[in-house]
Amino acid sequence: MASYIWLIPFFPMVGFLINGLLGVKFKRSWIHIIAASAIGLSFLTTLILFFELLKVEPHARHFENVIFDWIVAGKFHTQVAFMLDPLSVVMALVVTGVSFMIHIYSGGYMHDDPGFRRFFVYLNLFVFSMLILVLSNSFLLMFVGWEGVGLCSYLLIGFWFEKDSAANAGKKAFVVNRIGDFGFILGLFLIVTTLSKHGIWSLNFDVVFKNAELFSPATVTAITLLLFVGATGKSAQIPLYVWLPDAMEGPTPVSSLIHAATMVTAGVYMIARCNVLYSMAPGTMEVVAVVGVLTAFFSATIALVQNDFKRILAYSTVSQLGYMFVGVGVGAFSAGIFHLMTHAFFKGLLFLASGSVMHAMAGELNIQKMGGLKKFMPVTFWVFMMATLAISGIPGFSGFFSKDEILWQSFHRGHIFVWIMGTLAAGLTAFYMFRLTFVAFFGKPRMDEETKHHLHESPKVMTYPMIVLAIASVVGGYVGIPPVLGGSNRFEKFLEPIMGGGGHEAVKEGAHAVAHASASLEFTMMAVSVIVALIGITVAYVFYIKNPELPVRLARGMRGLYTLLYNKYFVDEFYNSVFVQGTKDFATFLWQKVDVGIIDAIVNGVASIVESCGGLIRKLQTGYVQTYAFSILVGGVVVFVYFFWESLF
Amino acid sequence: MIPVQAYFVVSAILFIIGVIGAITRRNAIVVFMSIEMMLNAVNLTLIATSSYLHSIDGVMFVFFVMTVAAAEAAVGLAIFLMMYRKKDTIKLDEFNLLKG
Amino acid sequence: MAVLIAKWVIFVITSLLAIVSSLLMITRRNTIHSALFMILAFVASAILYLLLGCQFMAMIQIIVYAGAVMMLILFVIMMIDLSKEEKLKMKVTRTKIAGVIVSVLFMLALILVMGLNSVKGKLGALSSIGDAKTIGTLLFTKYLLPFEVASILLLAAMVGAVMLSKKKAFGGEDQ
Repeated sequence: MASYIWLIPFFPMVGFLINGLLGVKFKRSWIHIIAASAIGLSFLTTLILFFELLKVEPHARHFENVIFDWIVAGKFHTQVAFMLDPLSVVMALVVTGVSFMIHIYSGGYMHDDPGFRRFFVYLNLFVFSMLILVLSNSFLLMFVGWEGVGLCSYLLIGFWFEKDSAANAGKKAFVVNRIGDFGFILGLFLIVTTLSKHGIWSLNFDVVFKNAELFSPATVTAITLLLFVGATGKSAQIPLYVWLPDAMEGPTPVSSLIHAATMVTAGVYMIARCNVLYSMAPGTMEVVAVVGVLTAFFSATIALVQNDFKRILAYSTVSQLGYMFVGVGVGAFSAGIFHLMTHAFFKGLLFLASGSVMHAMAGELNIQKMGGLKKFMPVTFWVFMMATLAISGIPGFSGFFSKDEILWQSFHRGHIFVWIMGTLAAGLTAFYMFRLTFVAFFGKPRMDEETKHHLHESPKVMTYPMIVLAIASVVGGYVGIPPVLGGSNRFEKFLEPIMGGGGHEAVKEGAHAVAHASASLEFTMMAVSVIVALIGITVAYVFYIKNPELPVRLARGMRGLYTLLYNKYFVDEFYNSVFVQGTKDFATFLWQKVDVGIIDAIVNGVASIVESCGGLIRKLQTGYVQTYAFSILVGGVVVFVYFFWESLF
Repeated sequence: MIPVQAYFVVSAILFIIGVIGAITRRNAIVVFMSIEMMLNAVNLTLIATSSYLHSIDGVMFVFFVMTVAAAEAAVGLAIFLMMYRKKDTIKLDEFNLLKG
Repeated sequence: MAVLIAKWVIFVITSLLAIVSSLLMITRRNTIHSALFMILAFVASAILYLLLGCQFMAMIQIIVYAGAVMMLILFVIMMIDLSKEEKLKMKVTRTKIAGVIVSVLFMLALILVMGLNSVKGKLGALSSIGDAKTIGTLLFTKYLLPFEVASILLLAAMVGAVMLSKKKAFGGEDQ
């Protein structure tokens, strides 16, 4: 079976090449079919391989497929090779499955866009890079995928590059990601240099994790922190989250696929993949968990007061990614991945539904100008409702299982602060999601008559994928029902061989504590988070259905807090004045003083010296052939005289 | 018995006449002929030496020099034709593309 | 003795003929005159070859130079309008004066070195060296490779000449 792994990324690559190189004259429907079926085939391959994997003994679930030697430099040797194990197959399933739905959906959403072909070319390239990222068997190939998805993200955020805001958002995302990637690659360097001292020249996951004991505690902390810097960039955590809300300038399917479901979870995946290293660095784990929960809480507060449909979802994404980091940060790696999966379903769906709303509202995104959409777009409303219930953590929906797992694990592993903040953030999540639902879909229509007249449900090519994802959002959680609710948490069992943390003590102890926690306590925890969520929903109901003046009065009453939240804690302004302006000033100094004053002067000086010397020497070159003949003659005479000097005199 | 040095003197004079022609004349065809004259002077030396040293090698050398001279004549004259087509003249001062 | 005197007479006459006609060749303004004087100089050289006992080379000299090369030169002179060149006055430049001076000095040096030093080895001209049979045998045995190379060189020169003199060869318009 290992020899088929390459097919998974192969299909998107073929789709990318066909549409990218030959697709200029293709009809739109062809392009759509080629792109979507490439992903579909890839999904199918992943499914087949997944079932094959299930047949294998749990501890033998590890297959590698070497494609070719990539870098052979001295002792260092690395290959382009794909790896299939429970973690990568889960990621590949999520990536290909959600992408497949979104590819189908995009055919309807982008139907009238002039960049139709370009869009699908980028999208296929993105899926290809993402699959390289999750299937690679070494840090180096993972980094290739990591950069590849960053590139596609840039291209797709700036897809409508003729709009200044889109081009700038793309640039911002790229630059911020670069900061993170810098940390990531420094981490890789540190791994290589440390291991090479012990004669190990490889960046393969197997080799690195097997030799993890060779790292000193300080080194492993440095490595994991550097890798985490990369993760904060890619997965939009404090302090590098600022690019994600701006990334909503891209087409909505892109927001859904890249900036909600797949790419932004790469950081979580990377940490889960390196759980052996992270388990060895408790300090880093603490940092990850705290950063995660702070991100979860603060971006949730920002989302409370925003009015832009997609921005609310964007801050919600940042917040949910924070949860995933809490999961991996407290050592519950499979819980983090579990939340990653369910989040991919419901957040992907939320964005698709927002795209459907935009489609109907002629691009309008301000939720204050919506209202009453339930009547006009029943399918969109119902799928949106499913996803909202899932993200709010209502029992029975997927988000409940995964979010609760994370909160419970953090409580039981002794991270009380993280648990309190996380629970509060869960309440805020329920509040802002229901605020969004109530304002946009309930109440009286507030749009103008022209728009209202054109309101319509989206075509089937858009609604069907949403329905599929809605079903996944509801039932997706049932693979991981915790034992206390009568399940067996099959998801965790499936990932267990990988998530062992290298059998490290701290992790074992944590798992031990979790396993021996009392059932009643777990029920209490669940009840607490459900009650918090219900409070959030009730408050939203009171604010936006029962008593719509209340939030306005509240906002006026707490002017300062409202302004602070509405302007996203002024973080963008802060970054702008400190980092961006500082860099610009420094660059201007370098340009005008150092470059023009010193470097250019040296270069020009050398050039003018050479030029004047050349001006003297060029006079020797008359261009007349007879002058050259004369110099040959002179040379001949000199040689002759030299050899016959004695016989001459 | 004519000493071989007599032949050397004659060929030296012929050679230098060729050199002077090649350096001073501006008509490309005359320059070309001067170069042929230089080759001819060298041939004379070779044959004289060959004859006086009782060795056939010099004569063989002359044979090949003549072959090369013939080839040179064909290509050189074709080049003059080209030059004439380009500039309508074969005055050598008109061709100074190498001027720095 | 009479033979020796006759040889000396022939040598002096032909040498002078060669020198004078080559001097005339480089001084004539009319190119056809130059060409004719060149033939004369070459024929004189051929006689010197005969004097040295090298009949085959003398014949070749006349056939190749006086026949083939001369014909080529005359054809080219015929094809090219040389009236402008023939009106040119001798332009005396510093380079030319220097060239002539250096050349004359060089000639004196050559005569000094070659003409006044004795030559080591078997002295005395052979009555016959390099008849057609000897040269032919050598060409196909010892000098086979240079011979073949020379034939390729001639072929290349032929192709090159044809290519160069074709009007369209370098993108020029066809007639």
